[in-house]
Amino acid sequence: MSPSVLWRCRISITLIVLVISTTPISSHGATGGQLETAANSVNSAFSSVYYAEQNGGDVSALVVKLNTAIFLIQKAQAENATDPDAATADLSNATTIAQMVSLNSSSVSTSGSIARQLRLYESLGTVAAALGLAALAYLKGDRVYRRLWLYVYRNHVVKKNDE
Amino acid sequence: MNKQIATTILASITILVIIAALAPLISVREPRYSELGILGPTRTTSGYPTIVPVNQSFLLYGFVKNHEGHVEDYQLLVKVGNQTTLVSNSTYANAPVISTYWQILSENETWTFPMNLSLNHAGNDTRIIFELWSYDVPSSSYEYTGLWDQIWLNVTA
Repeated sequence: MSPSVLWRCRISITLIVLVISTTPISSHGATGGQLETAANSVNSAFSSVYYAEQNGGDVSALVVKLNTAIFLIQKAQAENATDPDAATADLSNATTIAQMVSLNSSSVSTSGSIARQLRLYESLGTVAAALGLAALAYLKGDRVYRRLWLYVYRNHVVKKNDE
Repeated sequence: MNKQIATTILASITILVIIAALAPLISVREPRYSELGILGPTRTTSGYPTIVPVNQSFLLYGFVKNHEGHVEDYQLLVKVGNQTTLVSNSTYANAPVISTYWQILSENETWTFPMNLSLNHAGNDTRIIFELWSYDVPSSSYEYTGLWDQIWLNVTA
């Protein structure tokens, strides 16, 4: 091993030791980092919900869950000074809920897209059927009407008025 | 029946059916906006406090409604300012935040919530400024909606 490589190794090890020694040991209570993680998870989940709604998905159930996560974050903020363990648990639950919402929003988005596509096909089908029926009525209407008239009056006997 | 009249009736019915079938696909552009209101302790636009003792909590209600046409992530920031604090529809107040309220609202949903506030500095003409912010998905950050409200208080020692 060359002296320059050895020197670089020594500097790297020193830097790693410095970083490890200066990193604070996580306290038992809820930290700002946990709060930020929970809030970021909610915002990220909100983005997924937003796009799911744009794709035509019904996101009302997801919104309710996200508001539960927000409630837990606010509860954690309020109780952090008095009950840090409960605050940590609340933030953890809020993060889990937000992550579940993110996961579920993709299926809501897909079902929304499919429903939207079905509505489109339904409308186009109705238009095509209306145009077809109208064309048929225009071209064959007279003939159909006459045949129908003859069928309805097939047993009708024409009598003279003075008979 | 005259052939011409029959054709006209047929064409009219066909056009009506086509319009009815295509109507759900046409999106109507309605004005999009949010609503912000601050209500007194009785949930009405009256009975607002004007004098409050320092460090003593007082109750107000916030009112937010979403007409943006899609789900919205709102934050209501409560700030403490004074006579010189600048705030407008385009500029948010550069003042300390004393409380934040956060909720996600679906289209046409209303959010009415209690705000227990207290001030720790005595002074005349203290302004409690309420600003509505919403989460902007493309930029992944909260943006000032331009909606704000305020109440003036004399905080007694």
